[in-house]
Amino acid sequence: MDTIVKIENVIKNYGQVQALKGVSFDVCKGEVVFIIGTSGSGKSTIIRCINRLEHVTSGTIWIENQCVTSHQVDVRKIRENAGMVFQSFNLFPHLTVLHNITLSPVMVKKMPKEQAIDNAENLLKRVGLFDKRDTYPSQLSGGQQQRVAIARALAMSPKIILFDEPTSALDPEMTKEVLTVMEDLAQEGMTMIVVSHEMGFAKAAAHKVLFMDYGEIIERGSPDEIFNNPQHERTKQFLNNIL
Amino acid sequence: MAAIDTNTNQQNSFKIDMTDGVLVPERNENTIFSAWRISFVGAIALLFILFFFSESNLRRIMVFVSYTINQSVTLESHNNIKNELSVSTIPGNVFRERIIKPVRKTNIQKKFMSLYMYDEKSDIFEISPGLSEKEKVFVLDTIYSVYLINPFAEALKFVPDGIKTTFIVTVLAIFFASLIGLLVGLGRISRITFINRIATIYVEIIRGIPLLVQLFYIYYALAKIVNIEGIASAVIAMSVCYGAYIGEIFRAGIQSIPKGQMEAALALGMTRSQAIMKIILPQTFKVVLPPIGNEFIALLKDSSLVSILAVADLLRRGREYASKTFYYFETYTVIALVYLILTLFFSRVVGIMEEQLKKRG
Ligand SMILES: Nc1ncnc2c1ncn2[C@@H]1O[C@H](COP(=O)(O)OP(=O)(O)OP(=O)(O)O)[C@@H](O)[C@H]1O
Ligand SMILES: [Mg+2]
Repeated sequence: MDTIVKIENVIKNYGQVQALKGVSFDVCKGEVVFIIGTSGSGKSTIIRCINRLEHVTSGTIWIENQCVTSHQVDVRKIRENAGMVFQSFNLFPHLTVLHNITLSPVMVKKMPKEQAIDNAENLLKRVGLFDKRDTYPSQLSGGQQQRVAIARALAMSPKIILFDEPTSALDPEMTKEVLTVMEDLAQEGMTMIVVSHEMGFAKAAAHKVLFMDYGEIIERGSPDEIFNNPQHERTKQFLNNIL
Repeated sequence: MAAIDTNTNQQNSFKIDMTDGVLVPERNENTIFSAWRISFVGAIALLFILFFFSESNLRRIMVFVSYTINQSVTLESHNNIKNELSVSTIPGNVFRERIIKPVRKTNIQKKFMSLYMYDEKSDIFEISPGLSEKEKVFVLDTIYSVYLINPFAEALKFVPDGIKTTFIVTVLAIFFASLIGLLVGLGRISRITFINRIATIYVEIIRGIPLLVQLFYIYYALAKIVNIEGIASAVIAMSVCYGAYIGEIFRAGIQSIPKGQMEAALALGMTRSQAIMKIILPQTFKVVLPPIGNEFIALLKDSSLVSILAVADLLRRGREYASKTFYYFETYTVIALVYLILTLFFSRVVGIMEEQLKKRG
């Protein structure tokens, strides 16, 4: 399979704090990669380095043939290719659901407005929220907001989508509706990097699971390998704690 | 002026608390006897009472007559009256309404009548020529005291004019101050060090100098460079000053928008400036509108400072009036009441605006 994301020896320091201590992994086209690990282990940091919300201290990251970590690169092109879904949804509260989705395609990609609206309506149908197109985010439940956020990320037709704990702020019911949407995406062949502790979902949809601890990936493998037969002591501990 | 406080970190509450300005009425305090209502209605009622029920013209004339009969009038003591009415002609209608009619009712009529001439054709009143200084003073004094039927009511005469100027200065100043404030607020969060420093230095300097001193300074500094009229330079001075304070409101407002908004915008491929224009500022405006409304009220009050420049605002008109008539107490009573009514009125407007914003979420 084609490698779409290539991460090589990424180090990220925040002053004295070393958040990433040399992280390397590859993601292939259509792959769903899960990142798990304790709080503060650097999961968000690595994901944010991929779309350049953070700049690495050293190391290289490639998305297809774009070098994310180069100083010359057009950061905006990277972000068009790498969509992101946040734990706190971060919908724009002053815009309607539809406008949330169309804003960026029209403004950044210069897509004609009608086409953007068409596109957005299709995406809303896909996440089951077409009837909410004209409401404001504050009138939606958390699960609905997150589904809109996913539609918003999809509207830029990214090559990969980064999820940073997309369901941590949601109760089980709402978590399920968001996971359903994500599973559909995975089925359709979207490349996804997901920071999440939803083991059930990981088992069902993930191709690869990375366990991070103190800024390093200390174990990696298929969901079955990691969840049912962890090798590393820290991994065992962690899984015991959360399961 | 405004001290602002953002409680950015406290659970999604983006309200900016104000610690100055007029008390914006709270929604839950809406009984008939709320503090706002008592003050507002009280102030208006007091103005009415003063207008209609203070000293009548007749009583004033009687007092004046007994005064002129029992004591000799000294020229010095009435110099200001002479100045006021040194134009020895008064439009006839004013004369008839305000002087002849009231004077007829008193026993000074005869003496008074011999001292003036009234030309019906041209409808002009003139003091008879060849009067002694003392007689002139008598006529002028009489006219004057009658002319001023009710000092409170008279004091109200300069009010509309003064309010107009006060208003123009306030509205223009708040407009330009908001523009400056927006730029300063953006400058204060700018990543370009040079711009950031300039904005910060501006805020530091302005906040470190009393408004009154700034007014003088800008007024006379401007006068050295360009020749502009009082109102314009007053507006410039007030805008420059308030721009710094409103800049801080904008900065606090921008910083009160959750970081995730900017990140989400960037993650969608927007540039920082696109994100600021489309995502951050529209949300900021909602947050800063109430505190800027409050600044508007503070500015309305502070605009009284421009009366020391050659700007005929409410306070200055009042001072001019009082120094001519010596009705200091009456004049300042009226001025205080008018300012109070204005600020209370606008504090209510700001309060309603705030509620509307809250409703729309
Ligand atoms: N902007 C920052 N400034 C300084 N330190 C930071 C910053 N962002 C993250 N860190 C530090 O980097 C380390 C990794 O943080 P990161 O957010 O990536 O952890 P995480 O694995 O996502 O944790 P969580 O599960 O709590 O989200 C932590 O020690 C954190 O304190
Ligand atoms: Mg995290």
